[in-house]
Amino acid sequence: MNLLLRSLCRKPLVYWIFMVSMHALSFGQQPKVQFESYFEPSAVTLSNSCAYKVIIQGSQNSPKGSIPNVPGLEISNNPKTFRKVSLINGVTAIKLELIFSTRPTQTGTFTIPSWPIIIDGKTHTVPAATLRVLAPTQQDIVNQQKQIQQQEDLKQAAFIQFSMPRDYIYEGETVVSNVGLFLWDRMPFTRIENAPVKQSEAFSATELGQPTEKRNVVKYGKNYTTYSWKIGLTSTTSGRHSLSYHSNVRIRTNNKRSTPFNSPFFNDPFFGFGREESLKVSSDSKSIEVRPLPTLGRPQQFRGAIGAFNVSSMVDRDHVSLGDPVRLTFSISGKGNFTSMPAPSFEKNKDFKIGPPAFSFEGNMQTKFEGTQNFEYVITPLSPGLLQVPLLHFSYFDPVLENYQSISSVEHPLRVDPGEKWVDPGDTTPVDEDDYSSQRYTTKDLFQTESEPGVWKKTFISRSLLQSFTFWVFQIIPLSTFGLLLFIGFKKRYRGVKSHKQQEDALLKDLKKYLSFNDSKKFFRCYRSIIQFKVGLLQSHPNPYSLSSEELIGLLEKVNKEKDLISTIRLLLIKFDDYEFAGVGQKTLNLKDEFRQALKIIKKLK
Amino acid sequence: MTHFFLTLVIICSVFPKSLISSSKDKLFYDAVRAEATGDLLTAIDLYEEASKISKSSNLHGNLANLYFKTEKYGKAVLNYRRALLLEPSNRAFKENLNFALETAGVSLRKTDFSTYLGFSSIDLWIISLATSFWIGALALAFLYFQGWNRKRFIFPIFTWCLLLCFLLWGVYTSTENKRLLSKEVIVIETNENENNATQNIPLRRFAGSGSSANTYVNPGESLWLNLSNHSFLQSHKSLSGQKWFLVQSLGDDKKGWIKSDAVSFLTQAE
Repeated sequence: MNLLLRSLCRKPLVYWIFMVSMHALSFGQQPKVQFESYFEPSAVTLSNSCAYKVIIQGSQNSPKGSIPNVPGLEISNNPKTFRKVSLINGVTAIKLELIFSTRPTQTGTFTIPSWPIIIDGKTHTVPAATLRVLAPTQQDIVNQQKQIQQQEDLKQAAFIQFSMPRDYIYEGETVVSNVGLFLWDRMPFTRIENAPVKQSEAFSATELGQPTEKRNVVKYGKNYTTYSWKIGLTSTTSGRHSLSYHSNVRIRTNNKRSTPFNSPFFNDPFFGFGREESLKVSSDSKSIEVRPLPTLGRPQQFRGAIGAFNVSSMVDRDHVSLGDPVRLTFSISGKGNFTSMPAPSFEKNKDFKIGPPAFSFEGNMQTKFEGTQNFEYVITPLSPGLLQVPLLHFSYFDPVLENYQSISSVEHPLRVDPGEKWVDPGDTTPVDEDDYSSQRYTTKDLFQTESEPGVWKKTFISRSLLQSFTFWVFQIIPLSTFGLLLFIGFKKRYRGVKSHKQQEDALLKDLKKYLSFNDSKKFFRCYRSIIQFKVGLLQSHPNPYSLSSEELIGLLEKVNKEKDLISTIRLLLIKFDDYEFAGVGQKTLNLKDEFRQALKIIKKLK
Repeated sequence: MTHFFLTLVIICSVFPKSLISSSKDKLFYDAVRAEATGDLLTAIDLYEEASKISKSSNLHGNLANLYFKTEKYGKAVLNYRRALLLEPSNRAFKENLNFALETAGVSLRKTDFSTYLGFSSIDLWIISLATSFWIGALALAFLYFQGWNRKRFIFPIFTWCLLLCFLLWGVYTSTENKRLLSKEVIVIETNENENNATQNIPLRRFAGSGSSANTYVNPGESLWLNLSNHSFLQSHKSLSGQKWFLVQSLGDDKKGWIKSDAVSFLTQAE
C-alpha cells in the first residue's frame, strides 16, 4: 500500500483519478454510522478537568442533540470538533470527533447515560460513558492554591473600585458615586477600551466623561495609575440590588500561548514585540438596599425631588402695564436628583396667565447632583391693580432627615397699571404750527405714581444756612486764618522798629544818664538828637537824625512854630556845635539847668 | 438704677420716632396699594394722613396725581408745587404742574421758582458770598504784607467789593423770594363750589359773603396774602366764625377778600 501511495504521489494525474474513484466508491456504498463515547482520561482528581469525547464514524454531518445533565459534572456546551478522512484497507473511513471539556465538582463515579443524537434526520444513540473522580492529591491542592493566588494577583493587577455614600438609598434618589479604575504600573496596559459600565438594571447613571488621572497611587504595596469618574447614580426600583462595574483594557503581551496573567508578577511580557489582548476588569459586586419613599406625610406638591435644597425666586419687574409679561425665576439650589426634578407648580390664580417654564441648570453638569436648577416662568397679568405673583410650592424628601420638607417662593408684589387703551386716531392730517402748543403735554409720561416715599422731610422749605449754627461755626476757620495772617504780617513788617514814644523815652533816659555822669559832651549830643527826633517827627521825616542845624530851623519855620522857640533852639544848636567841636567852657556849665530847659523845649515841640 | 433710667430715657427718645417713621411709611404704602386697587378716595385720605406726619416729594406728587384724576385741579396744583418745593429739580413734577395748570385754565407761571434766584438757591448764594469774602480778604491781606503798593490795591478791592455786592443782592433776592413763598396761597376747590358749573372763586371787596366780587380766580391760581404796614397778616373773622384773608396776585391786578377755606398755604400743611 505504501508503495502504491508513493507511486501515486510522484504522478499527480494518476493520484487525482484514484481519489475521484475512491469517493465514488464511498458515496455508492453508504457506510453504517457508528457511535463511541468515553472520558479521557477515564479517572481524574477533583481539581483537574477532562474531556468527554463523542466519536461518530461514518458521517461528518453536523449532529443534533443534547447531553444529559449529570450532577457533579460541569460539561461545556461548546465542543471542539475534528473531522478525519482515512483509507483503511482500501476502504475510506470518515470520522467526526466532538470533544466536550468536563470539570468535576465532587468526587465519585459519574456516568453519562446513553443519549439520542440526530444525524441526517435519523436518530441514533450515543453510548454511556463513565468517569471516576478521585480525591485531589497534594500536588493538586498546591496547584489549586497557586491558581487562587494567581487569580488574586490578577485581581490586584487591574481592578475597579466604586464608592457609595450609604449602604441604602431611596427610590429615585441620586447619589454621587466615584468609580475608580486601578491599573498596576508594572503591567503594560496600552489603553482603556471602554469606561466602566454599570452592571445593574436597578440603577440609572449619568454619562461618564473624561476621567481624572492620578499616578503613583499606592495600594496593596503597589503603585497604580488610577482613572476615576464621578457619576450620578439614581435608583429606579426599590429592593435589594447588586451593583458592579466592568471595563475592558488592552494589554500588550508576548507571543506565548499562555496569557500574561498566568504569572503576572514573574512573567513580564515583551514590550513592543508582543501582541495586544483585551482584559476584562471588574469590580466587586456590592449589595445596595433601595428603600421606597415613605407615604406617610407626603405633601401634595411632592414631585419626586430628593435631596437637600434651598429655593429663591425673583421677578424681573415689579411694575408693569396690563398685558406686559413678567419673568419669574424660581431657583432650587442644593444637592439632589436634579436630573429627575419636574418643575414646581403654581397655585391656582385667575389674575395671571402662566406659561410653561424654561429649564436651565447651573452646576456640575457631569453628575447633575449639586448646583442650581432654574425654572423661568413667563407670567402675564390679566387684571390691573396691586397683585401678588402666585406662590410656587416645592416639596422634597430629605434622605438624611428622612422626612418631607416643603418650601415656598417669597411673595412678590406686582403693580399692574391699566395701560393705555387704543384710541381711534381719526383724522390724521398734520397739526398746524399754532396748534402744537396745545399738544405739548401728553399724558404718556404724566401722573406716574411713585411706589417709594423717597426722603422724608419735616418742612417744605429747609432752613437757610444763615440760620445754621454749623455755618457760623465754620466761619471761624477763615476768620482765624485771616487773624493769623494779620498777626504774622504785622509782626514781620514791624520787627525791630521801635515806636516814636519808645524812641523818645530812650533818648530821655540817655539824657538823664549823661546828666548823672556829668558828661556834658554826650549830654549835648543826646540833647541834639532829641531835638532832631522831635522836629523830624513834626514833618514825618524818614531819617530825622540826618538833619543839620539849618534844616532843623527851616523845618520849624515851615510848621510855624513860635519864634521864641525857634530862636531858643537856634541858640541851643549853636551851643551844641560849640561844645562838641570847639570844646568851649565844659567845666562851668550846669547840666541840671540845661536838663530842665530841655524838658520844657520837648514839651513845646509836640 | 442709673443704668435703668438711662435705658428708659434712650427707649423713650428712640421708640416714638421709630413708631412715627413706620406709621408714615405704612400710610404711604397703604395709599399706593389703595390707589392700585382703584380706591382713589381712600388713597387720598391716606396720603393726607401721611403728609400730616412728614413730607416727601413723592408723597405730594402722588397726592397731586390723585387730585388731578379726581379733577380737583386746585389741590393738584398745590401738591405739585409742594412736591417741587421738596425736590425742585424734578422734571416730571414740573411737567405735571404745567399740565395741571393748563387743564385748570390757569395761565402758565411766568416766574420759575427753581431759577437761580429762587428760594432753593439761597444756600448757594450764601456759600458763594462767604467764600468770595474770605478768599478776597485773605488774598488782599497777603498781598498787603507782601509789600504791594497801595495804589495797586484799588482795582482788586473795587472788583472784590463789586462781587460782594452782587452776591449780597443774590442772597437778599432769594431770601425775599423765600419770604414771598411763605405768604403764597393756592386757590383750591371749596365744597360750596363743587355743585356749581363753574369753579371760579370770587375775590370780594369786603370780607363778607354778601359783598360783591372784585374779580374771580380759578382753583390752582397763586395768590399772596396782603400784609399790613406792621407785617401782620390782614385777615378778618366774621360773626359766623368764617375767616377771610385779603389777598392779591403777584402783579396786583387781582385783589380782594377770600374765604380761608378757599385757599391753602403753600408752605404750611393744614
